[in-house]
Amino acid sequence: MKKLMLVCILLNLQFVIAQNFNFGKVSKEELKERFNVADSSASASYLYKYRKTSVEYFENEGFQLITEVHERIKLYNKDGFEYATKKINLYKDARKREKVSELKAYTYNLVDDKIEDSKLKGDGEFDIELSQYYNQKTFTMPNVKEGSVIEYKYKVKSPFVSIVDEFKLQHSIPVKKLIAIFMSPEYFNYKLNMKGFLPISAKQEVIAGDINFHTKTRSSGSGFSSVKTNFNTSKLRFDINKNSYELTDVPALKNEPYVNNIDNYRSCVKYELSFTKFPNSILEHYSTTWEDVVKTIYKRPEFGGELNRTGYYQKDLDALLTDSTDPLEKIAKIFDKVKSQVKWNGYYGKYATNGVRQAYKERTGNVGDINLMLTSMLRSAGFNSNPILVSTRDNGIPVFPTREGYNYVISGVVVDNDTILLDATNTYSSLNVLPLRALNWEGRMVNKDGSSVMVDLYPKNIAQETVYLNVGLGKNGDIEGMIRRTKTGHDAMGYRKQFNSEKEDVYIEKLENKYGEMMVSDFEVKNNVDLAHPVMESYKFVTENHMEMIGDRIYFSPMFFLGTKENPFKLEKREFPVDFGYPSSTKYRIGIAIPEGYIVESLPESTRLKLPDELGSFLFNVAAQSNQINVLVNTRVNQSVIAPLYYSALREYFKLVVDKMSEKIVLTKSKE
Amino acid sequence: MRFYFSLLFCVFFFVVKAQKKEYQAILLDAKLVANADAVVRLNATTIEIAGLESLKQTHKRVVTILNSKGNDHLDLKVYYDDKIKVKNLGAIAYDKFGKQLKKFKSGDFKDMAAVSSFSLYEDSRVKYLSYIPNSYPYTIEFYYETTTSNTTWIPFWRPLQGYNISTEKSTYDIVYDSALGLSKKEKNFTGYNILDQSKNGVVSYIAENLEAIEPEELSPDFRSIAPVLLIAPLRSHYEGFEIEAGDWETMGKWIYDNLLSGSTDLSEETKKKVLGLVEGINSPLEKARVIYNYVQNNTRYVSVQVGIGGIRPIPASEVDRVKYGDCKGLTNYTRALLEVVGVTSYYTEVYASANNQIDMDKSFPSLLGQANHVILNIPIQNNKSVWLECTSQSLPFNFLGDFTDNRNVLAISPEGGKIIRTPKYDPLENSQVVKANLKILDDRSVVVNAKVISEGLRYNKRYYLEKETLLEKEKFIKSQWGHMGDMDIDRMDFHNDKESVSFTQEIDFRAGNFSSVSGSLLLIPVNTLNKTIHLPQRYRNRKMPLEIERGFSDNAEYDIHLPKGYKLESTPDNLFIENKFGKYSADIEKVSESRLKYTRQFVVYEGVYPKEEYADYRSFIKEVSKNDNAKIILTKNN
Repeated sequence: MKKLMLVCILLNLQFVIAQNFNFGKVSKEELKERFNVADSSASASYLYKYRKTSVEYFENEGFQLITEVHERIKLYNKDGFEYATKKINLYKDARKREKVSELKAYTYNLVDDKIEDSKLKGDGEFDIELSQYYNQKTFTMPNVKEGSVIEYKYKVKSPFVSIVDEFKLQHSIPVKKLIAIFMSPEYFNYKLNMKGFLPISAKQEVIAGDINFHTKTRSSGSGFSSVKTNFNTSKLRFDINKNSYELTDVPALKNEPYVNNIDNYRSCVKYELSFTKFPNSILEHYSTTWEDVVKTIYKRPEFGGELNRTGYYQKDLDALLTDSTDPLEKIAKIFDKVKSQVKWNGYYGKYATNGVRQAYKERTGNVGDINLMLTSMLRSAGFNSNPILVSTRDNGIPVFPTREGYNYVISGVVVDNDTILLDATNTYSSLNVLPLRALNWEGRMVNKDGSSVMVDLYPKNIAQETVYLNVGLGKNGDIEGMIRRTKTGHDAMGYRKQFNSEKEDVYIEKLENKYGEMMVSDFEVKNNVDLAHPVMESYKFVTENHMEMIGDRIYFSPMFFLGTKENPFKLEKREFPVDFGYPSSTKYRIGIAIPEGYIVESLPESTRLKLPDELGSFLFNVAAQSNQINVLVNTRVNQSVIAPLYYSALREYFKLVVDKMSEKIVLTKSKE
Repeated sequence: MRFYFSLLFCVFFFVVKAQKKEYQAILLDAKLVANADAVVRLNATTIEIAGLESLKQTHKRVVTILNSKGNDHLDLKVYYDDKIKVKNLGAIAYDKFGKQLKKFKSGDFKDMAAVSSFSLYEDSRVKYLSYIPNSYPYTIEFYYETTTSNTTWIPFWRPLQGYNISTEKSTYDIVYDSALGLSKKEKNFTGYNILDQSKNGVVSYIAENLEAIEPEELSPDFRSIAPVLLIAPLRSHYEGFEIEAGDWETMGKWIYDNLLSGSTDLSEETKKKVLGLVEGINSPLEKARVIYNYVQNNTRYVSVQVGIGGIRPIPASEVDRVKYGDCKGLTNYTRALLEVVGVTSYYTEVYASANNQIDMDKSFPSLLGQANHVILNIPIQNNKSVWLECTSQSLPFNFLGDFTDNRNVLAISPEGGKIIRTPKYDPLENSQVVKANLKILDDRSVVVNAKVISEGLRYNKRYYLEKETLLEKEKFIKSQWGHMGDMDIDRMDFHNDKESVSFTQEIDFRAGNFSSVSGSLLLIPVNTLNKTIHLPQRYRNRKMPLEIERGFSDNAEYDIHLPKGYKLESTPDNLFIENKFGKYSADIEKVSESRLKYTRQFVVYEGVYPKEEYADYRSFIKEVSKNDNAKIILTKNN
């Protein structure tokens, strides 16, 4: 036993010694490794991932952001080969751009127990001009095989000191050793923000730094005496704040279904410039708290300034509201006016990029153009209306107070102490019914004085669907019936978007095919454009394949083609919340006429189910009376987002719901 | 009087400038609007070939967009590279009355790198405009000119531009130097209003009032039914080469001599290594197997397309050094390695597409425009061939899959080019067999030991699962058999037999929601593991022929164990159907009171049938689907 332990320790020790992270010092052990012991499913692993970003001074250029990257990656199998290609996005604007330098890269292979290296040459490097704002440096490693280790290092020099890319500490493959360093002179004050599930803490140090300034002065003598040039060197000493992170064996971040954005759960640290204070100059603020962020945004002319413009619409607005007195009617009119006047060009943004006046005239604009215009018009009509900053679903939940944290803006208007949320970028969005992209946690309402408050974006009103179904069972196995559906809230928005985007006969053809085999007639839709009322669809149908006649019996499920057929939650465990987007309820009222000559042999039992803590409920009721069977089904989910701790209850609940909905009613031929 | 005159003139002038009557969307012919999301009002292409190195194209396209889906047909973009200059680029938007809304100049277009999703780098760029409409319908006029010294590629004329878009007028004019020559071929012109006014030195076509085609399930590919004019110069210039097109043989010879010859040189060291690999092997087939295996294990696919590199492979020695390449590079590298071991192989151009089998035109040779991929052909005895897809690190030896199967391709040898055909997979080859043991329990659940064997193109769809993580495998199984209710998987064993091209999945699981209960009855679906789920769409008025591009077979053998305490009340009737589309049989045999044996065989053949027969095919599938869903009924013993 003792011996065994010693061997273990020795092996361990040897392994520790084998880890040399100097560039080029790849070991045989690393090359021989067949899989990641901690995560055998990983196709590749970062053996070493180093990034240092520091603010440094350059003569002629001033302070620049220097990022040094050094990565060593083990490729276990072919699926890992995607890591053999690296893409570096480089930001630019009209005058300045980020640049890559000192790129060095090698692939290492073990050939006949010898380490063989292959150097990246120019033919494996590419520079691509992606767009107006980005260039891309791409390189792909030579001689890559299963088992290869690749290693590269490079520097990026950026003139944009206020934009520090976040340090991602977790990746889609495991990281064995991660080092992240951020250094900035005392003149720059960066705010540190963290998110994710990993326990992280920075090691903080203060080190000394200095800059040598070379100055040149020319003194001209009087008369014919020569001109003299003096060279002076002055030294400026200052403190450098250094934060470092060292992590080992960081697990891979794996996606799960029904997660709205995996980046919300990725562990990251982010540095955002909050202020600069140079010697002999005044403090310049960027952002530190949410309040500061909002102030900074508000102060920008493309935000606050655009809110104050009124001239361009004033005449139209006056004409629009002449006959209106009811506040809600006025709001609806203004909302409709903006929606019909300006079409969304597909771009997000909290700022008005075209300018509200231009957008109004050209009838197209980004989110900022449209919703700042809406807010301004509501204010002009005498309402207490304010813009609400939002982070869209794909932008993630704004955990850190940063300007980039918000990428979208909607409008809020207070009526009788209630804030009504409005987004005029979607034709079918109505009061308090925002498009799904904007439904992400909480937004921040910016008041006229620049102060701000949090606003819950998730809808409080439940989206309701009511389905009436009347069915008659035919002798040949067909069923015939009539269906009427009514939808409100987000359900109605989704329906309108789909129905209005295609021709009616195309829609009907899809409907006919949706449930296998159905012939639709007397199709009618009401309120597909009028957002003030629930949308309603009704039609008659004939269909087969939804009942079975075997011998003297007829079998069918009480909900026929309606209801949930499969449990959406198939996996046993889940780490992240389930996001339904909005609370919803569906009520089914189904009447089935019993064909002549048949009697009920058996009916599914009625039942009632509840999710814990009032999260949702299910009611299922089947009753027969004389020649009719009545089925009543109610399903409700009361919350937009359900925490992972309820996952197993949720999964079990859906299992029971699906089971119940699939049970059969049996009729038999009456004996007489 | 003079005053009046000038005022009148002004008004008139204003109207002319701001309104284009012919672009009024409200006056459109109902026939052009039917089934259409957009109408091409005018598509005018004029091409001048003034000399070997001078090609000028002038394009003007006016399209009326009828609804939001029509925006996909806007197509306000022009591709270019350092050999193509774009001039006179612009667009004008009109509302439905033909009133001008906005004019866009060249500077309003965005300029971006146009690197395809499969490439790491390409030298191609695009200028594009995104237009946001305010209301429908609206009309956009888009125009540009390009000039280039590469005269080999002349865009084919497609007067009908896709599904759900009609054409009011499309014109196509080429003026060319007769000394250079031009060949053309009309395809699928019958039934369309197209007029040919070509004469010596001039190609001139005009098409009018072509109605929109609606896409339909199981119908022939759009390219094989829509009119197209193939066009290619006889003598042309491309990236420094002078090209003379004759027949495929001479075209192939030209490709070999100019683009392939000399590109197979390898270092002595590599040659030695490769010879070592095949030491003691005599059969060319076995040698090829070893070499393919070596290529798969030592290279990966990286696409870089620059200039002539778009059609010429990078030399084998380069691929050998970096161990990556695109389809041309990897195919040529494999050819070079085979050459070292004395096996002859042919670099073969193909139009690769898994959705449609698209032929290279046997009677219309052209250097560009007909192929998008390269594979390797190895002739062996008795007119047989081995085919290699060199960009895949995982496909089995001599297996092309649905990416390049059953189509005309151009094989290139030192003697010249030859159109040959890639292998077809027969319905019985594309088989999936499910063998299972089902133990039905009385709580509605079932315990299953299943074995799924996929071959042919069915293999093609599944073999990737071998490398997937456990979680992904589980997701696949659960989505495939999701209708069986909540599954608990006890064992998953996936085996990829590359040698015999067969993928086997062994899965043991328990499913919770299998049978349904009603009072004292238990209803057991007879075929849940292999049932036909997808019923082709029903059309009120089918317009296109029925095409089943690839056949398949789907078989099942189940051993069903019934629960204790129940009596067998009824089983579905045995069924046998045979018709021109295929065959279906389902049999249930009662082995004992508690045990049933179910056998199902289902084959669908490939074929093309007139549109009237679509409904028959659909009812065949419906019958199969209905029978797969039939129930075994048990009653509880009292």
